[in-house]
Amino acid sequence: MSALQLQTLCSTFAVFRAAEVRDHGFKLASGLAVLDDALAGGVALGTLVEWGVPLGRGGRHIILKYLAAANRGLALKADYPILWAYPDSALGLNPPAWQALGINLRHIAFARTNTPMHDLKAALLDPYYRLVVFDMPLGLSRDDYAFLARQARTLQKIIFVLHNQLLTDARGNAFAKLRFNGTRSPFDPAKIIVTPVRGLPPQPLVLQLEGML
Amino acid sequence: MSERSRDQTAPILPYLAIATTEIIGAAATMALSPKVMHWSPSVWLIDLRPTRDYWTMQAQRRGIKVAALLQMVWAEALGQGTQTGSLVFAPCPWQALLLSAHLNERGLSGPLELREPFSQALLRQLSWPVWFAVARDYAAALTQSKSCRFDEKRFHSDLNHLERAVVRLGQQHPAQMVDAKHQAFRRRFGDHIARLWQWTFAGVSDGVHAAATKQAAFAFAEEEVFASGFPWVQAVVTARPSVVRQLEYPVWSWDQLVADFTTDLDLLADLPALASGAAVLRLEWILHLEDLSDCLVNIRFRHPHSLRAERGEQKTVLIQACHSFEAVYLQRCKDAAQIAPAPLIGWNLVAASCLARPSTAISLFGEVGAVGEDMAAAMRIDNRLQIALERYQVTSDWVAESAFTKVGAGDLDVGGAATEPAAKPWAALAARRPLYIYAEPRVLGGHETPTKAAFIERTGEVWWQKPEGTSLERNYFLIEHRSGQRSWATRGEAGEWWVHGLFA
Repeated sequence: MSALQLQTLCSTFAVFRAAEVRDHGFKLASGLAVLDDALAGGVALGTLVEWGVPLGRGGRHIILKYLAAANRGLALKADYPILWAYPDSALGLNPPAWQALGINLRHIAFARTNTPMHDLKAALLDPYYRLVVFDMPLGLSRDDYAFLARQARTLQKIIFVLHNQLLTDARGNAFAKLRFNGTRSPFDPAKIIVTPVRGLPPQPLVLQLEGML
Repeated sequence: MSERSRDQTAPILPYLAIATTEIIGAAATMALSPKVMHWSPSVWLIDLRPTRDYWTMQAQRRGIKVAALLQMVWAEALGQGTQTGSLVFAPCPWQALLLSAHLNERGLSGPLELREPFSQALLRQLSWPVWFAVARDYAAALTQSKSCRFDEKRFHSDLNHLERAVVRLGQQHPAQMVDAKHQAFRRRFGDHIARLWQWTFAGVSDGVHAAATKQAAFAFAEEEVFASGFPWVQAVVTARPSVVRQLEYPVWSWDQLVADFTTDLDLLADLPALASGAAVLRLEWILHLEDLSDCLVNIRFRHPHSLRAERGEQKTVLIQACHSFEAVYLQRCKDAAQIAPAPLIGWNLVAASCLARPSTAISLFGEVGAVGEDMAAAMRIDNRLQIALERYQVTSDWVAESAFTKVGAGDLDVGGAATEPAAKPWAALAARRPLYIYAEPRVLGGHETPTKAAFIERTGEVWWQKPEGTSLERNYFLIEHRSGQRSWATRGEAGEWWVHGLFA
C-alpha cells in the first residue's frame, strides 16, 4: 500500500470516526468544518479548553459558534443550558447581539463575578450546566484548573476558559487538553486564524466566518 | 410569538387580593406565598414576590396563564365545596384592594389582572363610596400595625373633608379627577390620603403602564413595605415547624456540627407541617452559644426548596447554611476580636417561611424535583449559588442600553420580543452591535488614534427623556485600534472618539 493510499484510508477513517462520535453525541461541533475536522468531530465532552482570544479581535466568534451549536443540540443531542461567567467590571453584556449571533437567551445564564471559582462552585459540582465558559477570569490558580479539569471529566462538561491575551508555550497548562489562540486575520478581516498551542499540531487553521464584525 | 402565548408567559403582577365569604385560615393562603396579610374579615392580601419566579416557571411548563394556575392552586388549597371568591392581581396592594371591592360591589368574580384593558376600565368605573370604604379599612390596618406617626382621628377628619369636597364637586367616580395631582391632595387632605390617591391610578390612568410612575409609586422592595407607607401586617401561623438541638459537647466549627445539622434537617422535613409537601423559602437557624447569647443565621432560598426531596443529603441547605454560618457566626467572633469564639451548645432550627402546598395539590404539581428535570435542576442550582445568575430578554427598542431587560428564571419569554415581526429591524441592528457594552461611553485617549473607522449606524436618542440641548442622534462607527482590537464608538462634537462597546 502506497503512502498516498494509506493517507487516504486514514483520512476516510478519521471522517468516519468523526461522524460516528457525532452521531453518538459525544462531541460538540462548532459547525466550522475546518475546526471540527481538526478536532475529529468537535470538542469532546469532559474537556477543559483554554482559549487566547483578546476581546475585540474576533476570537469570541468561534466560542459563540459552539454556544449556538449547543443551543441547537448539535452533536450533544439536546439543547444544553450554558453558564457564562464574566468579570464584574465597567463592561456589561449586550444580550441582543448575542441573540443575533444565534444564542438562545432562554438557555444561557450569566454570572457577573470576580471570584467565579468561589461563587459558581455549586454550578460546577452539578451536571446541569454542560457548557461553562469563564470569560476573562481573574487569577485562576493551578488548583483551580485542576478542579475545573476534574469536574469537566467527571460530569462530562465542556469548560472553556477565555483569556484576554494570546497563550504561549512559555506558561503551559497541563490540565487543559486543548489550548488555542484565535484572532482575526490581519489580511482578511472575514477570516479567523486559530492556532493550536496544545492538543493539535501547531499549524494555523483558517476559518471563514460570515457576517463577522 | 403570538399575543396569546406572550400573555401566558408574562410574569404575574406582584400583589393579589382575594375576597371570599368563606372562613379561611392563614395556612391555606400560604399555599400561594408565605407573605400574607389578613386585610379585613373577608379579604386576604398576598405578596407574590417571593414565589413569583416559581409560579411563572410552573405556568410556563404547563402552558397556562399564571393567574389561572394560581386560581387552581387556591381552589386545591381550600378543598372541595369551598367558594374560591374573586382573585385580583395588581402591581400595588392598594389597587388590588380597590378592584376587589369594586368586583364585590358589582357581583363579579375574577381572576382579574390589572394589566388587562378590561380590568383597567373596571378600575376607572370605581365609585367614590367604594374608595372611601377601602380607605377606612386602610386606617384600621394602619392602627393595627401600630404605626406611631398615624393619627386616626385626623385621617378620618381628612377623609370626611374629601367626601364633602367630592359631593360639592358632583363627582361620582375617582377617575373623573384622574388629573388631580397628589401634591394638591397632600395640601388639602394630608399625607395619607395623598398617598392613597397617588396609588389609585398610578400606571393605569392613561390606559398603559407607565414604567416611571409605577416605579415611583410601587417601589416595595423586600422588607421595605413600611417605608412605602402601606400598612403590611404579616399573618402569623401559630406554630412554625422547628427542631431543637442540645449538643452533647460544645462545637466551634462547621465540620463538627454538619452531621447533627443534617439530621435535624431530615427531622424538620418529617414534621407534619412540612411532610405534607410544603417547600421552604427561609430557615431561621438560631445558634445558642456557651456565653448564653444567641446568634441568628438566616438561610434563604431563591426558589421554594423541598427538604424532603433531599432527605439524607440536604446538599442545597448545607451549601447555603455553610456560607451563612461563616458570614454570621465567624464574623461575629471576628468583630468581637475573640481569640477563641464562644462555642455552640445547641440550636433551634425553624422553618420561618414556607410555601404550604396542600396535599391534594401535590398530585397536581408534584414535588419540586418531579416537576421537570430541567426546571428542577435550574432551581436547585439557583438555590445553591452565592450569587444570583443573570438572565436576559430582548425588548423592542433601538437604543442599545434599553434593548434588553434582566429577568428572573421564570420570566423568560420564548425567543423574547425579538421574534415579533415589528422587532425584526432591531434584531438586524443587534447583529452589527458589540457583545459587551460600557454603561457609559469612554473617551479614547488623545494618543490613541484608530487606524480604521467605518460607519455602522445612526441611532436616534430617546429625545423626550433627555434634557434640552443634548444631541438627538448618535453616529456609530466600527473603529480599529493599533492592536487590532475593534470597538463600537461614536464621535463627539470636538471630533473625539467615545468607545461604547467592544466587539467579539
